[in-house]
Amino acid sequence: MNNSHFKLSMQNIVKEFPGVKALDKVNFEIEQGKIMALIGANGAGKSTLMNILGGIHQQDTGEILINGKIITIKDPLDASKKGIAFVHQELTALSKLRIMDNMLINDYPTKLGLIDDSEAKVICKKILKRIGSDLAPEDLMEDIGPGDQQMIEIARALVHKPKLILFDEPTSSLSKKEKDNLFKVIKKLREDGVAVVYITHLLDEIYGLCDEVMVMRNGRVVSSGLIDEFPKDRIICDLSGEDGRKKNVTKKSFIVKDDVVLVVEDLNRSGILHDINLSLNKGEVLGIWGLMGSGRTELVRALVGLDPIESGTIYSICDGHKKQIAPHDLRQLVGLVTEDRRNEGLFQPMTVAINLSIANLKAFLGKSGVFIDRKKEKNEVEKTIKKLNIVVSSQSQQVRTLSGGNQQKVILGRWLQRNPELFFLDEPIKGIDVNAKAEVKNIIHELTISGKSILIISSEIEELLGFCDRYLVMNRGSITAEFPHTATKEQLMEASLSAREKGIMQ
Amino acid sequence: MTKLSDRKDLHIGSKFIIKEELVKHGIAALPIIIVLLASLIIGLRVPNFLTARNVINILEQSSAIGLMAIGLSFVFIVGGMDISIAANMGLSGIVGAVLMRIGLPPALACVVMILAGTLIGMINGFAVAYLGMIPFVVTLSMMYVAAGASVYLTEATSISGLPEIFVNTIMMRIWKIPLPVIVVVIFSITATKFMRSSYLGRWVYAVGTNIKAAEIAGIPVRGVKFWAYALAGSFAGLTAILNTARLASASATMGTSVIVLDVASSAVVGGVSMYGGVGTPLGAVIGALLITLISNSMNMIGVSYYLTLVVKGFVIIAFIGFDYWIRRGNE
Repeated sequence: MNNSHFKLSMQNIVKEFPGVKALDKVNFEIEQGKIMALIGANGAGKSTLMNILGGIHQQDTGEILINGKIITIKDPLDASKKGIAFVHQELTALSKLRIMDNMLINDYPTKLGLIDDSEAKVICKKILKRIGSDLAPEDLMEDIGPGDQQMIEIARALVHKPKLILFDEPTSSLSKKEKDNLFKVIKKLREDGVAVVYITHLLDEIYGLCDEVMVMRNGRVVSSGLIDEFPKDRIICDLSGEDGRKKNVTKKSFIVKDDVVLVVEDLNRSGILHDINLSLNKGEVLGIWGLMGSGRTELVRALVGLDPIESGTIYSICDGHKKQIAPHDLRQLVGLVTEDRRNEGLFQPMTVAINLSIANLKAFLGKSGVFIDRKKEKNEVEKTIKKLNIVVSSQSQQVRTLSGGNQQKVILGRWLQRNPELFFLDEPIKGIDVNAKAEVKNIIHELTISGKSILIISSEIEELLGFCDRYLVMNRGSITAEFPHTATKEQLMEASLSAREKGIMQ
Repeated sequence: MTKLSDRKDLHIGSKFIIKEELVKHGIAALPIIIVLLASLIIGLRVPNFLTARNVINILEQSSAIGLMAIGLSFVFIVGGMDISIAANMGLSGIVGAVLMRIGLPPALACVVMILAGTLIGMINGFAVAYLGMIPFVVTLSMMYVAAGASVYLTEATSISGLPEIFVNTIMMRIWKIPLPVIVVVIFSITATKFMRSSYLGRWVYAVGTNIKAAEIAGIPVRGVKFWAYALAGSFAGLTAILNTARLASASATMGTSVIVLDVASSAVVGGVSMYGGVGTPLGAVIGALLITLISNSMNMIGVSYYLTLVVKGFVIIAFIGFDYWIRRGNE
């Protein structure tokens, strides 16, 4: 079938998003019959790189070559025409349709202009057999499990006879058995002469599966080579790197005293969170470290009642009185900053002023008790803008037009106005520039000085270090380790990667 | 504002800001400009159009639609839909009329009409906000319930012979201006003020703009939705008072589905987005004026009622398209 030896390379790929250099002169090469592991922490640029291959993004500069010929990839359809298939992390199934429809939705076989169902069935059967699946093409997608759905994703990719398949963290929703099966399929694809890129941040998976490895950090390739040259500690070292951020804000003093304000006991949400126990002290910054999919965001959402919990108790301690509190009520006591700033944090088309005051409107009620005292509101908004150094043209500027850092400050400012005792911050410094990062961290630091308690999640490990009083490490929905403020990068990284070996998962 | 473009930190946004300014003032002004322009053009061609009598007539005709459009604008802004609003008005009016016929004092009957409308709105709101049902389905069903109940209560006839004091009071003129017109003017201004600077109003905009962000900001999202529907019902009840007085009777035909279209299109034409988060009650009332103007002027030129529907339909499509175009720019 393949009369020429398939080889794809990317040279000097640069890709910038507003405020972030996602890829900085990245070189990459893969050939048929090889499985390459692409490793990197969140935001390292691995997904961006693959999205360029998949036609979802276009590179700003740099070249993509197939067998030595320069090509351009306009869109996902174009990528698939050029033999590149993408198996996404999230399942993108059309759940109400049959398996065969999911596989052939944009490429049905036809007879006289109508869909040839029997031919379609034959095609699907053949592909399913190839990946060792005995699912019936007529079955409904919603009736099969996530592991099988993942298989269908792969089967769908195989319809177009790809020469290169990109797997983006395919195991994140799979059980052990399903995972073994997946690896068998990937190895079989390699034998068939397909090139495979396997994106993951679970190191245990790549040994015994992959032939080559490439490590990325902060939009650059740190190292690459044959897997045999990469023992685990080397990869961990490359992953974390000594970046030496000059502007890093660190805490001057660390909390050790036991003045607990929040206690969580045995919190469970099946399949997502397992036996979560934690406590938060007054004036403390508690860092939660874990890789994407480790359950850190889900933990925060469950605590404040945005997601349901199946069991577990939350206590809030105020003036020495320990009181059980429902997640929904806890939300009223917490300044909550979610990871998805654009969709869950801001009212994009609304003004800076409205975005700042929305959580605290009752404080601005005038004498009438019905209408807001605009003057009072304006003064308070002005104070917050000054205090947090938010760069705006006026209070009535649309918040959508601000930079990421200023937007984040608006969200923080909203909670400063409300002035709660607890802050849950999910990725508060993600996607904002270095100066804004330092400013946001200074704001958080000042909060702790005034006795507020902070629970912070960040996937940027360097940013957490030296900033938290305590660290909890999460993996697959469990808290698997705790470290004092002296924790090192290597310790945290190691704990989040290898917890599975200690049998904590599942 | 001139300095804005020089600021580097705002550079990415400058394109948006220009469009935003255009949109913000444009969308509010557009219906007014169209109303004035259309009146002028029609006025030049139709001799009796720009007479004081006809102008007041148009204002009076538009008052019922305008009042309901205020109510519907709450629901639109929160990101919902209320198809039952006209049927609600019809049923509330009938309930009031029946009670007046059996001797309830008119003032009390007016209160009952508002309460009846509010109650129906609350049922809608409860189903949508707390049971999580789809607004379209809930209010469509409620439209059948209210319309059916209306015909059943009236036995498909018109309930007339309402107390004179009721009709005369509601239809009274102050300096030649009919009371309903004054009521609409007052309510469109207070409702707009309420939406802009009461905290419930702000919350309605916030929920309609981004329900997830609203929830995370600690806004009681369900309660906000519930009250938006309840308020829409109250305005249906209020409209029922005006309509029963104007017709000096109540019948099931008061709240037909054509009226719903007029109300919904008034809101949309007046810049209240069906996608939520955008528009003002005042805009909805101006929209009602435009919709009435189309009907009235076409009628005076002698265009068939059915052709008028065609024109109205196209105007609405054009405005929804315009609304969508602006929304897309805002994403």
